[in-house]
Amino acid sequence: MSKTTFIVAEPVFLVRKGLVNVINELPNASVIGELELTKSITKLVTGTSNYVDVLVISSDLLDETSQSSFKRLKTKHERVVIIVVTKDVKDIPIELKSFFSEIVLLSDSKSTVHEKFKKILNSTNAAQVAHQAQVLSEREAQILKDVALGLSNKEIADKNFISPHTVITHRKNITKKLGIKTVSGLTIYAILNKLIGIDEGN
Amino acid sequence: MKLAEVVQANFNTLSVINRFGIKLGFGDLSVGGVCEANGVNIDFFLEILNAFHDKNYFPQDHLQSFSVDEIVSYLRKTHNDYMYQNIPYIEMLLEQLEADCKNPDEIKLVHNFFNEYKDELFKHLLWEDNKIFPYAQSVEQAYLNGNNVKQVVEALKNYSMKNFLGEHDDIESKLNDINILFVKYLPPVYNQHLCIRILRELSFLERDINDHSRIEEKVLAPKVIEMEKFLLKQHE
Repeated sequence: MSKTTFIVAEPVFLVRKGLVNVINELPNASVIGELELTKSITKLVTGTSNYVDVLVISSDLLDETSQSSFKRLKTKHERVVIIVVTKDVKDIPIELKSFFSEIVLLSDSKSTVHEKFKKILNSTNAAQVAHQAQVLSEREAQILKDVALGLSNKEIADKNFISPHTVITHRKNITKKLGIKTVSGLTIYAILNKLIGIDEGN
Repeated sequence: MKLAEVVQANFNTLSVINRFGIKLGFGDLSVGGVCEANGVNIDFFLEILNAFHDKNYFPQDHLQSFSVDEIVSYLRKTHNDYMYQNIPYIEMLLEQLEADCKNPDEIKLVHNFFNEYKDELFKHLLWEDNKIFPYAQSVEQAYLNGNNVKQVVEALKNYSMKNFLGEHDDIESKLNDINILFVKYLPPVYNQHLCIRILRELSFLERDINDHSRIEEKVLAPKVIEMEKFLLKQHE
């Protein structure tokens, strides 16, 4: 599983460094960018956010443009998680609250901060797993299912109205994507991912 | 170099060293000293050890200077290790993992898959033990001492070492798949320490078997093929 990547946007130097430290100490997490200004966030949304899983932002940086920025961020990258850091929950505009998955208070204890970040990490990891499980196209998943059920290339071709040659191409691509070469291995993958029932595999 | 230093540099060499009948507790003996004390051909020992340590290291010419008997005896010991040590140990770990989880069905699937691999591997190893190795040794006997040349030539017309190379296919795909299933696709709910231990054993086995196939294909087979050619020519 790849690391969960963070961007930390916080104008106060010491607070920012503290956040970066805490995040980098977490397993499978790393900060790939630090921002001081709110303007950079708009840029971030249009720019490199492909690689960003979590955005940590200070409530001091929130302004009237934030709502539209977050909206665009979420439509572009629905998996991005936003965490807000604040002195006081009251500093967070009500209309923005729905964007935040977590609120970290400056007064939070060490264990509370850790817990909050870990909760976020678990959810992003789960999202990654779900995302990766979908790497097969629908057609490939169907072919994989047939392979796991023990059908021959010819039978799969007839069933799906494609040529045996196409079946072989699909099978090659499936193996390339999953890294699994044998029929037995593919069958187990199909069962683990609920493509077929545990009693169906042979 | 002291043998103890070799082991410290690469711990995995221990299993190779053990196959030469060399037991732990080498003290400060050098590699040469240990070989002498155990009646091991030091050149052969070094080549096998180097080949194991670095898969790109394979001075075939040098390895050709050892007898088929020596190579076969080493290969037989590796087979025994797989059948009586490595595989049973992995099976035991899989059973432990099965007993230590809430959803044993998924692990059972992997376990069955491993059994499939095991059957395939054992069949392969026994075929080599019972057919290929005795044949290779008989070729050497005919070549060196003129024993049963006629029968050997007849035999090699039916099945020679070239046929062996053709059939010596890749049986590691399954092992590789089990590895990938553990690393990438099993839900992360299982006893992680056990999973890691199983993976460690699987990776070691995979590496060791690859090394072992390399010795069969690059050392044993070419050597026997040379002798087969000589025998055929002589017999014409």
